[in-house]
Amino acid sequence: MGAYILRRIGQMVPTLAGVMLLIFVLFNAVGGDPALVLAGKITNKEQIENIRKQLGVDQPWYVQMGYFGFEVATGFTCTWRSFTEKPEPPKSEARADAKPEAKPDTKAAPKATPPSGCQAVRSWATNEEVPKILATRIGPTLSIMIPVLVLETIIAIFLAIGVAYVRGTLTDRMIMMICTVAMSISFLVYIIVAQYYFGFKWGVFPVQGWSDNFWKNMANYAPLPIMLAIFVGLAPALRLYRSFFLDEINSDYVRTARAKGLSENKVLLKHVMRNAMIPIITNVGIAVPSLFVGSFLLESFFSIPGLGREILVAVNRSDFPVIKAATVYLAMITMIINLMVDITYKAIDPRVTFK
Amino acid sequence: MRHPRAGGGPINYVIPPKSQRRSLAAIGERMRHPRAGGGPINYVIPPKSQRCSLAAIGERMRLVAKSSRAGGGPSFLRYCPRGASARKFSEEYVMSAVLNQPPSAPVAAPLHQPSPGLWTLAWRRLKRDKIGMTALVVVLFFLLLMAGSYMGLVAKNWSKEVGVSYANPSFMAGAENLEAAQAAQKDTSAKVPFVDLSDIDPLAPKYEEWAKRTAEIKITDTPRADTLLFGGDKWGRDVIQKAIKGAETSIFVGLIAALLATIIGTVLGAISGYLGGRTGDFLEWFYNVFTSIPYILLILAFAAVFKRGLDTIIFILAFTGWTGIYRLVRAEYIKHASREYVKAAQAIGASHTRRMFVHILPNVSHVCLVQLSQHVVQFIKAEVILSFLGLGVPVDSVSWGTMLAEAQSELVIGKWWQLVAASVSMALLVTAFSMLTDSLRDALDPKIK
Amino acid sequence: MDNLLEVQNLNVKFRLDGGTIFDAVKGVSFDVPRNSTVALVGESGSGKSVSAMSIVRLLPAEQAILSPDSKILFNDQNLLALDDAPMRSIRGKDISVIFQEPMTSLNPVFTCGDQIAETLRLHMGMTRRQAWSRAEELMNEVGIPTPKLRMHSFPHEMSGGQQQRVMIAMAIACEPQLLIADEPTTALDVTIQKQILDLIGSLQHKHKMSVLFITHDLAVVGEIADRVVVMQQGEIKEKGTAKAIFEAPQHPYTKALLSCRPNVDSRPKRLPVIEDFLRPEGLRSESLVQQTRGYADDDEIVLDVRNLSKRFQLKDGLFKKREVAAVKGASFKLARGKTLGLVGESGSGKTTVGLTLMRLHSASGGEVLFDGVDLLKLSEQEMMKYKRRIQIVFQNPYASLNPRFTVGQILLEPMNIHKIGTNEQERVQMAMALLKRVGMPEVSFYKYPHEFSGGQRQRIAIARCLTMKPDVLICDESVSALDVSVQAQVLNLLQDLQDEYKMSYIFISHDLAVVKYISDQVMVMSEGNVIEVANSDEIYLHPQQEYTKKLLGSIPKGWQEGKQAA
Repeated sequence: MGAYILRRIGQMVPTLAGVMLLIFVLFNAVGGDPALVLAGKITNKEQIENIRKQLGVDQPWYVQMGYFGFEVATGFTCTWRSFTEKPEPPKSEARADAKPEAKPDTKAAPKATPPSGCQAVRSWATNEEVPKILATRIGPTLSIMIPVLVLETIIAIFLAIGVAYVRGTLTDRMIMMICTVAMSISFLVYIIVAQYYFGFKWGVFPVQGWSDNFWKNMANYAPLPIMLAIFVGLAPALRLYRSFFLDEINSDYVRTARAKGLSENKVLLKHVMRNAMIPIITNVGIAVPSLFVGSFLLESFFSIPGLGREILVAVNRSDFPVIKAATVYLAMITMIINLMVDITYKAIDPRVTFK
Repeated sequence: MRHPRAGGGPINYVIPPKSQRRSLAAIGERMRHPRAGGGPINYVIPPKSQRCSLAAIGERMRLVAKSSRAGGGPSFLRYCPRGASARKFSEEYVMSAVLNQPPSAPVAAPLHQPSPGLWTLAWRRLKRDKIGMTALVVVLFFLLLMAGSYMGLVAKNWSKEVGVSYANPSFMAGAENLEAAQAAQKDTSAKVPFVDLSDIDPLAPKYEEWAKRTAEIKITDTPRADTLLFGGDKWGRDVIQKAIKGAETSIFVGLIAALLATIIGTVLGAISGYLGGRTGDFLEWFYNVFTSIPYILLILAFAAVFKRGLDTIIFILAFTGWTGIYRLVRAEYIKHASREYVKAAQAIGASHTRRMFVHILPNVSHVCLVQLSQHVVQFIKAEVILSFLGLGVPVDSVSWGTMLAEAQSELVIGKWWQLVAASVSMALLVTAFSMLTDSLRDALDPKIK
Repeated sequence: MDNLLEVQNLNVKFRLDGGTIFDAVKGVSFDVPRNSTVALVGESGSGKSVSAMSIVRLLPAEQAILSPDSKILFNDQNLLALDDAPMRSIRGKDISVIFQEPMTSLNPVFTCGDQIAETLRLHMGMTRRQAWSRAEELMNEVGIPTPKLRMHSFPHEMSGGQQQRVMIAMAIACEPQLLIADEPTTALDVTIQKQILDLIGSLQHKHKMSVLFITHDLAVVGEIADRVVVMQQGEIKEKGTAKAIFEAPQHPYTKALLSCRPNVDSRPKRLPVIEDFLRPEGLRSESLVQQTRGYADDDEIVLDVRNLSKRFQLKDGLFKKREVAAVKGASFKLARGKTLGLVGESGSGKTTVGLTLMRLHSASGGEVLFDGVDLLKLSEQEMMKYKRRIQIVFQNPYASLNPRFTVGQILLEPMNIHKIGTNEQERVQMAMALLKRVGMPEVSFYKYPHEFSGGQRQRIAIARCLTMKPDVLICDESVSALDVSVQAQVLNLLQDLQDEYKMSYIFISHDLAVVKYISDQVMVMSEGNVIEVANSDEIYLHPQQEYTKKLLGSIPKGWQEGKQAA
């Protein structure tokens, strides 16, 4: 087991290197000159040159890649420049705690020099420290997504058992048909309509918003987005879980269980259930990493200051440092979660052996 | 090494005695193993050459069925526990039993007539599936619509402002339209206050000339309609025409992106699955890189660096969406590469390329087709969301996503028709496409061999 | 008469896809007396399993229709008229079942102990602890070593034979009156089969229960059954005591079944097939003449395999690689026009030998001298011209033909690759002629494999090899998946072709009787080692090695006069 985990961690290194390469190519090569993106409408060559220098993009690509590698290695808490250069007294008044909604202050961003020592990677748009941005955004995202995942899985499992019980009947076919139709309607439509009726028209929930108080959020702001996400996620989950149950129902061991004289309920709830849980848990495991991205649609519609919305804002502002950091962080989290999921298999499926 | 009866995977194949061999083919075709996911069991029409014998058997079965029904009725259903493994039995018992049904009439097969291949049989199966065919008709209708709109036969004038702002749908012509009224007011009021600045205006002498020139240009100021068939948008454009044009964009993006993704996934999956080794490891690494970034984030990261446009969004969707297809095709290739028919091809000296593309590819192509169909749906949905967010189609074109974006604010002022038009047309297409995918999966199930 | 079970006029129909109704069992009646073993024999599709499953009512409700005048009396109680709840209390308690595939029939996520104890707690009202200790006793009774440990094992941690023992322990847990055994040994190796048969036999005596034994193998029936019911296509062809069936079969089908399967004691020139028994003039003369086999001193040696070995590499641990030797230094000679039989249990490496010598696997060592050329040393290109001279027919007729090719394409492909025949027309003619030669109508040329039965597909696969006129044909379990009557036909075909084309065969099979029938020389393998090579009569009459003796001792002997009287 120890050897297995070591080996898996060893395998993560090339994958992470690949992710870094992909991101580097995407943002540094394809993404055009970061300085131009950043400078926006500035046409002053000197200024642009200055920005380029500040960002280090005047260097050859391999040096830039080294910078990026250093940033990743320090978890974006330290840039190469701040690591090597002596701290200078700050010239600009740009503050790190500028509001996230603030207009991209292009002139201030690169000139902001660190007060002392190691400096975290900063957002081009707001000059905030990227690790800080991401750390503050993760809370709201998880407080929406964890309840969604947990409730959705539980509800879907129970519904799937029910549907598996009535398999082949008209009820079964009708439910599957409804699921197909429900899945065909865009998530956007659900959100727009629900927000309009529940929030705007009937005032059951606030239209949008978020507070600093966790309990207030959970009581006021979170319920509508959570219910929406569950509602939308239920149809595909139900279809999938049902097929897992039906796959198992046709196994030989189910026939054996029936030949023992077990009742149909017992067969379904004990023998079938236990086996069907294996693919279900696999599936939930796959869904876990996307918890952290959150539903960017829900977050933007309901003005929830989560990670998804932050990334979306960053994409719209071409705020590359934020996107780069988020991608690398999330890739790491994904890999670790995948490993954890694989290890938990051992507990569920006795056939799994670590090699 | 396997034992004879245990051999060959979960299906127990059975061989009838020689005397029945003739009819076997005919009846064997009717049998198919239901797909793993469940769903209705369909059956296949036998090839023409064998129909006579089947008909005879069928006739005899009907007679027997009739005689037994006289005594019993449906009550004998309860002799079996509900839901005992139907599929298992159809595989183990029914199939073997059916295969052994003796022929009632000798089969006279016409010479030199190629019999239907698996694709033909799949098409026949699909034709029997009413839901599948309905879905196919709907999908084809949308495809025609797309082609028509692309060639300018329909919805050519979608961008013309033919109605008043937020023109009501014709079935609610009587309803108030405050916005149109306000706009009209603005129009007139804008013309009224006019201050003569000719004294100080250096361009003043030119005004007359300009006015003259303006007069020369004919303006066909068509009167704007108060109502449109399904209402108008803010600029008074016909919502139905917009929805058609939006369908064109969305389907085009979905189809081309899915096609590209399928090609990428299939080629890489085939190479990785068949060759394995270092090439396979490298492709696995490539796959792992793409899948360790959450899908949404991957799309957004791509969207962040590329300029928006139809080609961009197709590229983004295809380049981020190939991973699932790769995984499946790779698994299929690994499975098939060890199948006996591929080994037999190796034994007769067929080259790697021949084995990969002539032998295996046709046998996994159904997987690709189903994946293609499934990804069209997925990509249409993704395009709508990206366009909604302003990361999709360019500003000057319309898609269901941009329609929904407009509809969001319209809903607040009670103009619901654009929302309904976009979401209903999209739901209709996507439902039909999903059902077609399900039916395709059933019809193409390769287990009938 | 004191019958435990009486099946009366059982009719089962299946509702097939769409609306077709299919008769699976047509008016079947038979009895199972108390304390006796009744065998239900038939080939696939005979309705034997459907009949057995109707007794415990485990047929799929969605598809199966039982006719209302069918009766199944168990202790004079009509099982078909029972409600679900009382039926469940009989199932597993008074009537229990063991199935063919022990691996899939046990639930993979519960321990064997749990699964046995579950039955006890359900029917015997035992507490968890009582059930557990009783289950342990049962494990001991069915001969599982270290039952205390094995109680905690999951099914996948046990061998096939042990899994079947667990199934049996589960089945006898509640002291049933009737045990239905549905092909319980078909998936097992011959030595394990013997152990399981002995176990069932001794348990039957010990617990005074009745056994309904379903099988396709008459040799097994002869060993264990008191009474025999022969079924074909949903009908009973003949029933009676084992003595009557084996010594004086009445129905031609029974006669054919008894004689079309090769047995160890006789080797007719030609195996009788069912048609032979239906002909008024009786059996062909070739079926009555015995054939002598064996290598002669002046035989030309086509293939000389020396010290062939094959190791597979498995990844193990962080960087370690584990090697598994599938074949350890096999040496043998193949004479022209003769057959070498390769026998062994699963995992013995016999198939690997076949695949390695024709380079479908790369060999790890040794020489394969074909006409004096070492095939293993040839480059890929040099090998091409030898490829056509060694061909192979695989086990599974359903997997060995490309389903997207017509039979014509299948036959033409090797000719195109090896440039056999001058033009397409000539090739088509050759293909047609070969189809005819293997007993297929010419029209098959235009059809797809899915339109043919297993036996027919094997013929097509043989024809594909014949297009290349090979010197050596490897038959890798080629007849093992076929029903006995079809098996006889294919064996006869192979013999005819050998006589005609002077081909040499390497005949790989786990079936000792078939190998004895077709082979001149036999090579016995076990765990990658060659145990013994000798002429086939020699090896069967005077086995030198312990393993060979054990293997031969496990062959079901079938009916032996006087045995059953005891």
